[in-house]
Amino acid sequence: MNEFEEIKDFGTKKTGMKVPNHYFDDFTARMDSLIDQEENSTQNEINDEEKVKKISFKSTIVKVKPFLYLAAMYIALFICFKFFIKETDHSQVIVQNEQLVEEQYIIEDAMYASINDYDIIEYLYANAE
Amino acid sequence: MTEINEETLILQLQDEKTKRKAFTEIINLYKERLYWQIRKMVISHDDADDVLQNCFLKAWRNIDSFRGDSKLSTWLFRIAVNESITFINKQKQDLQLSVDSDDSFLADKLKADDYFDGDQIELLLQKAILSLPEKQRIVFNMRYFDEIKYEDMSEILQTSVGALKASYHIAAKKVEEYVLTNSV
Repeated sequence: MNEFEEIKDFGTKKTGMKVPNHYFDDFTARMDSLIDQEENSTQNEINDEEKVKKISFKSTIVKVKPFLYLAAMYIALFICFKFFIKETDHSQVIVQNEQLVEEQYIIEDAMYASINDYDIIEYLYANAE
Repeated sequence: MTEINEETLILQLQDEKTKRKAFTEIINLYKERLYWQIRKMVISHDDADDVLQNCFLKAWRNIDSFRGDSKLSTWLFRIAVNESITFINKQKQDLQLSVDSDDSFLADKLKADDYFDGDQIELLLQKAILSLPEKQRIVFNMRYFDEIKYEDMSEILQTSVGALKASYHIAAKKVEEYVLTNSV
């Protein structure tokens, strides 16, 4: 017996259960339309996913934009700060140099201030000999 | 008339152009047998209709994964059994019953079902079957009503033939005892 003939020849024992009239006649058409619906909704879902992907790329850029501006602002601030620090260092060097020159004059002044008349006479005697 | 065989159907299922038509053929071939298998599990006609639709939808969604390792009928029966068990367990959850409890709550559904016109003996037999544990009930229905071979049943339920024979033997004893005890 063919396997598909066996399928039709089953369930000879009674269960007391029955089905509405034409239930099995209508079932295939009903099932077919359900599968078609399923297929259509699956296709729509695929299309929606593709749309969402495109939209999400645009929306990602829109979302990221403020952060990009913020980052650019920080970079600009950093560069300005760096420039300012360099300027400050350069002026400090000038100030330091000026301080050194001033200190040399002070030492010379101090040296000259400590020489008295006795020291000059003693120096002259020593060189005359 | 062209003779349909499983190999031809499987080949048609693997070709995108013929897949849809082949599946309609499968629905035509198996709808009745699967319906009765499910109906004996879930009892009410409306529930059986829902489960049968889910069963075919699931088969359609997973048809690409079917490679013909088992028979098409075995694969479909396995889906039907699993869908029925899932459906019954969900009902048990809704009624706050333990998943391990027997399915005797379905006896009330049977009496209330418009599409049951069995006599007292048929009702008693169904009640006896519903008092069985789930696995034994499935085995008893498959063997007693549908006369499915143990070898095929073994593939569907993924249980050894020996265990199925033992299950059926125990189930038949319990049904007999129930009928003898409860018959007027």
